[in-house]
Amino acid sequence: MMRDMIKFNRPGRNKTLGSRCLGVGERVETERNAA
Amino acid sequence: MSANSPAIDTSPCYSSDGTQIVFNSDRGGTQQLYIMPSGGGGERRVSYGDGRYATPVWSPRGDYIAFTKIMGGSFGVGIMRPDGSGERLLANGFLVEGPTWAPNGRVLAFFRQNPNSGGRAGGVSLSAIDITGRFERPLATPGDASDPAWSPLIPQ
Repeated sequence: MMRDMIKFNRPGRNKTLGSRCLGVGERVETERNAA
Repeated sequence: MSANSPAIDTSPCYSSDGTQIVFNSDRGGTQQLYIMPSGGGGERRVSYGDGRYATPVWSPRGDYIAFTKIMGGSFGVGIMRPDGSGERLLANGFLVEGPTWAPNGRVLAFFRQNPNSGGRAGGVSLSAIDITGRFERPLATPGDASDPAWSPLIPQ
């Protein structure tokens, strides 16, 4: 049995328009593929 | 990587067999993709299209390089062969960038930011798309999400 995951950043709550101020990196399983 | 060049060289990514590195550089006047052996030297340009190329990522099978392309005020995510042939844009929009490969090398994830009602940057979300350019679908996350990185297959 194998699985895969996607980690991503959650943009910070204090981001300003037009800029990307990233929050703490998170790792959340979003999709599984059969091996 | 290229310590003797005054150009800006960024976003290095190894080929799956570790023998080569793809990166982007503005040494030619615009930001384009280049490949070099992992041991150094022998750098060669592989992209020649209009616009700027960024975030190159070599596929797990070694048969494609995914990239972000900025052209004419819009963003796109595309793929090309490592020799620069066969360039295809798979998705485009207000802000579309950051491709990452599924372990099977046939699906890409990336992130989208759509404009809000005022035309400024709005919410950010993840999408996946087949390398055919078809079947784009959203990847559900608890809130806004950017900069995806797809893992290799993980034994359970």
